[in-house]
Amino acid sequence: MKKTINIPLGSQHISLLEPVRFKFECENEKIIGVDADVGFVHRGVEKACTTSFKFDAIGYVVARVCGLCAITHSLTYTAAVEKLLGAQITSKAKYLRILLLELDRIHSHMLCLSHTCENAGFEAMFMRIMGDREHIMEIQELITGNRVQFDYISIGGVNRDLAPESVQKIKENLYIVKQKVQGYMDEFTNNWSLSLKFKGIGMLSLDDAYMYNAIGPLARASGLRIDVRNEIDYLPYHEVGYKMQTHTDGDINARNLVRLAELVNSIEMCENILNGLPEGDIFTKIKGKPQGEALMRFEAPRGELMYYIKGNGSAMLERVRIKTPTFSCIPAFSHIFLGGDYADAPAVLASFDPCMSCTAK
Amino acid sequence: MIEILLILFAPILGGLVYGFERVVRARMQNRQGPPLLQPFYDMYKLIDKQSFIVNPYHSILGVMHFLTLWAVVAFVILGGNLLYIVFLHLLSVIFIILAGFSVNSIYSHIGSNRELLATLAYEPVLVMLSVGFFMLNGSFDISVIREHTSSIFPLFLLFLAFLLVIPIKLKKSPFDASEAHQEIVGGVEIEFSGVFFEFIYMAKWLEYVFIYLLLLLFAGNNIILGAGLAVAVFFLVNLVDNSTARVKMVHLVKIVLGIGVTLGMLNLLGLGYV
Amino acid sequence: MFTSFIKALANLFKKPQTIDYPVTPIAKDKEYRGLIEYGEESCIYCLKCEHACPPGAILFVPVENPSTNEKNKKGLAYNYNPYLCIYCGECVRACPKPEEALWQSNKKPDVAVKSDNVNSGWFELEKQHKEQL
Repeated sequence: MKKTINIPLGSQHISLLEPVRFKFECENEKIIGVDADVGFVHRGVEKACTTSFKFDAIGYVVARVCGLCAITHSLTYTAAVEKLLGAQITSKAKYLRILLLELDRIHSHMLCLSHTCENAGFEAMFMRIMGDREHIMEIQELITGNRVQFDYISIGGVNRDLAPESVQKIKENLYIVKQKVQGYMDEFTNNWSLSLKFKGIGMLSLDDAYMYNAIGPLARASGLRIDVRNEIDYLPYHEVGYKMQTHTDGDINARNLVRLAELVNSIEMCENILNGLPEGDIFTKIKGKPQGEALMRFEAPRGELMYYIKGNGSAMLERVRIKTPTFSCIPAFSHIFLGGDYADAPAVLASFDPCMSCTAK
Repeated sequence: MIEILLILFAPILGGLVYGFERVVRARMQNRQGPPLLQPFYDMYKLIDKQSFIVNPYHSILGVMHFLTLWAVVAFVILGGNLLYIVFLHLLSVIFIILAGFSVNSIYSHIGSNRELLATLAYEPVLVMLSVGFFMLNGSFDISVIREHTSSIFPLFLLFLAFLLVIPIKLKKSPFDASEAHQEIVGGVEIEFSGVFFEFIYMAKWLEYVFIYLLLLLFAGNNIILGAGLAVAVFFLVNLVDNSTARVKMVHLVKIVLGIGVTLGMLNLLGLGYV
Repeated sequence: MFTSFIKALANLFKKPQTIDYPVTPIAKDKEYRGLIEYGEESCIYCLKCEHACPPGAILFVPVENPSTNEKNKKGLAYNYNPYLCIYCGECVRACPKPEEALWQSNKKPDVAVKSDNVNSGWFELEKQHKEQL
């Protein structure tokens, strides 16, 4: 008589934002084996970049790989092409690019936190965080004209300027969100039923994080100090007040606290940028066609994003390769599930913040 | 005469209570809820959908669950014997558990497992409640209990144990693991479709009517206290639902069996000495 | 846990944050990214907007009775597909006369129905465009 049952967390499930399939082999709801399958959202973006679109339009194509980290894809590609063409952009454009990148990080982390609470059964917190996220979406609409797909970055600078009367409204909304985040920190640490669901569940120790190559907030919550913003000098992160946030426990609670701390740090960075924005142009015209190879890395909300492009002097590129952060973390995911209960599996999956549209381009 | 009308319209009353509760829950989460008659609009839409019959036992057991629950509500209104009512209610829960086990779907099996464990946790509390009423009034009959004065003060600890049991029956946080729609996609309900799902949905409305009628027993012949108690417990259950997460089955059984049985035994021993 | 309890109780007496949108109108920003509009008299037919558009929503195809603009040497006419456009504004930035010939308004596109023949009409134009190249 078989001792184990196979429970699928199937490609279509209520708790998943995007389709992914995990097959768990369980003995009475305790997981002993994991089988992962990604690739349900494959659209062939890398092939389309080398056959149907010219190199100056690809910035808009790769923004549509993912909905939540759209501007990071667009920025990484544009920075790689600018490196190939040998272009210099003005410092006002650099600061505006950091501003939007950090706003994107804020709204993506809020979505992840609310989704984790919803999978733990606490719908009221989900509605509360989503309601407060609306303040950030209003700012984004004010600056770029759109709430999610910004289309803000093009080769040579940014597309729209920041009007002085909107700076006041942005600062007010950021202040409101900062007050609410203090309330969330309180709630996440002191609620009795959430601590039964989050503390001590889904552990990843420091050695395992190093061995299984975890990146992003998943690794920083276990104590591993890696962050791409610390290692590049292309955008002036250290001048606007960036600080790395880590934690040592490695369970779901630690990941939530790391995300909340990064939220507060991002809000402070945005306020510093708004207070000290330099004058100047936002766009410089760049001529030429890309020739040679270039590689560029940036920090998306979920980890390290890498682009490799190769051009041969014509308007069409020869190769575009995208490495997304969730793809690197899949071995770590499969390791964390072992030994836990099936009832915790949706909550653990939501705390990794997987972005399946990025993974299966 | 009025009792026959109440019995015939019991599902509709339950539907109105369920619809009102959805609006209250939405207002507590700072959003605008659905219209008040939403459960009835759902009913009209479900009748149009295609009803799959997976195997005949599954569908018949689902319908029997609904009919037995309606019989339970009818006996409570007519004033029958409380102990028989508690066991008839257990029979209706057994029907739905058997229906969950009779198909070949993994989510259905896990849902039935959890429902069985939850029944193990709350049945002792309901039986102790009936014994408590017997010790106070000398009879199990509901019509006799209703003539008596309110028994909330002698049975106060049993009332607290009953408050622990209400979230399990009404499928609310923190104790709604048996119908956890983010984890096991609805548990037992997932294999019902079309008209048969309509029967399960109406059975949920009848649970509301059953629980609130049991609550009215604590008030005896004092109607105003009964109405006040029902409204207060309604708001308390919804507020707790909006401020806790869902706990796992192992914690549910430990908490409800541990605290509930202890409080019940203390109350019964106290009644025995006085 | 008690802060959530008090907050849920207080929310009962406040107005909801949601707006039932099509019934209640909301104010539109004047910088909203809307439809691209064309001024035919100032156009010099350099075709830079057609090369710059990422999804290819602007096409110049030859027609029988073209406009009487003296710069229109090949007898072309401007066609714009609002359902393929991503409202990025690259065409406006590429145009040599951005305020007179091509600009971005803040209007929304209309809802398309089947009788408008949006897809098959556009595929016809793409075929004609490819033939003239």
